[in-house]
Amino acid sequence: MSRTPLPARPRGLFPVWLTGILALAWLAAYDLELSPETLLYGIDDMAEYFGRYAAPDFRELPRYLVLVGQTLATAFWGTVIALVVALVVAPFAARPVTSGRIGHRVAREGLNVIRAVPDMLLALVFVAALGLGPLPGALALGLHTGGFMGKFCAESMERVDPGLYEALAATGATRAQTAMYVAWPSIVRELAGYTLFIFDRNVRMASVLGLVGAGGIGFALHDTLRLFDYPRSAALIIVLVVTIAIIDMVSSWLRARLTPEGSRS
Amino acid sequence: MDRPAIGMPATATPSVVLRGVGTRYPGGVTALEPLSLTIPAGQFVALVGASGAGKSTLLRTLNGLVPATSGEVVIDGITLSRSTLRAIRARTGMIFQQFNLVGRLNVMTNVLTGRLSHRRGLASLFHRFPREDFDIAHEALDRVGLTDKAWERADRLSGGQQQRVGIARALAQQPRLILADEPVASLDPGTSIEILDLLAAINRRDGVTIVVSLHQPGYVRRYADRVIGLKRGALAFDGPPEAMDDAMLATLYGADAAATSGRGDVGADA
Repeated sequence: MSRTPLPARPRGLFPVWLTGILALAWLAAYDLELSPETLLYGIDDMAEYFGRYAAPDFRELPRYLVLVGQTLATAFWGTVIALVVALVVAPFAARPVTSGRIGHRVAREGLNVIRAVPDMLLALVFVAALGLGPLPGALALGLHTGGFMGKFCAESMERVDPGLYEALAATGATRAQTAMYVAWPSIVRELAGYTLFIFDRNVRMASVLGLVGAGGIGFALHDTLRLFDYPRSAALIIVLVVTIAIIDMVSSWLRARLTPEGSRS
Repeated sequence: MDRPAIGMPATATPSVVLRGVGTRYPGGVTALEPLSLTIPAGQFVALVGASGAGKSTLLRTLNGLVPATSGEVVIDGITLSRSTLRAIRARTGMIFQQFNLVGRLNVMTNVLTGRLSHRRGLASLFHRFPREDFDIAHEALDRVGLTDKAWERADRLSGGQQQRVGIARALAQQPRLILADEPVASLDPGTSIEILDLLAAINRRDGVTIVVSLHQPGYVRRYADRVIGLKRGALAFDGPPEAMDDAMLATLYGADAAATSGRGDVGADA
């Protein structure tokens, strides 16, 4: 029995990509003078160094827990600031809600810019401007993640059924009213998910921001590391990792419970 | 017991006057050929025509959701323009095939959105309404028989109930004109009759002008005072429902459709 012959099999580009990526990796290693030998010679040194952390000193645990609380508070306020930024900016950045082209552009680009500036850099600037402490940390986190929150929310608003925006426009409602009656109510579920995600991320970031002087447990770690106080540093690192793991677990559990419900019928 | 009428009494000013109104989309596609017509206040008008004939576009030019690219739209004596847009929309209700309720808000809040055009304060942004608006919304819900569902989430209701909330939202605007874009195309026949009966009651009792796009000749004959037929974006028929015979249906929908018109069901909407 005769069959129509198969058309010629298209050639995959995978080998080309693979060769290219391997070549790049080799070039980078060559340029940075990365070599397996240095890594091998370094293993002994590293083992010795990490050995110094073997005996964590938990005698000051209550103080550490207070510092963890400060870090969590910094992350929390960073998240609140991010929400406020999003609440104001996101409707302008969402095409179905915004009115003017200029407002839309400004909001979009504004969110892009604050998202592009690393929060570590923002924290450095705010520490210099406002002094040491959790406040500059919260501000830095809030601005940076406000850029994310605003973008996520604007994109969710653009996915809302256009008929809802049309219905509100048909009643003669203003753009601001449309944002408050259609856009925000329709995305609350997504918003809850984003907020948990951002808070989770902010806790991680807040602990590192301490290193540039923005308070919390990271600040304490910064001190003990500079004093070569390995037992206390080890204890702080363990407290930090446990905290982050707990927040991460709680946040994923909560987000899993926010499974998308059936779409509007 | 007779409730006070929700709409305004019929007046001598025509509800809708179109003078050479046409719509051309930016790509150059003509959705609506320039057409002129007058709809007196208090008329129940059915818009008929195949899918894509321009019914939705024509309805949307009446409240400026689709801007007319030529001609002049006059609603209740007011010419539609940027400056009069909101005032016209405030008194023009609109109901939709997909109901377009905010599913996550409760029924009462959905109905209260019909009051937003009258409330420009900051309080209205935060879902705060004066007592008067609650009374109007309550009355509108009573009219559609859903007072007991006031605090339920809109997306928990059945399709027919959602459409009745859509009508209540339009009533809360205290409209002079209601535009209905295939309001029963997603509903079963029994529910369709309920919805059209409601619209007919609003038309007869409150004198609200109604322009509704419908696919089923049976419903058109039963409810409409006047039929406007569109074909490929142009006016193809304008007359009383009795004049809408099989030949006319064949012109509007194609020959096959006319043959089935006896069953009162032509062209379920896509």
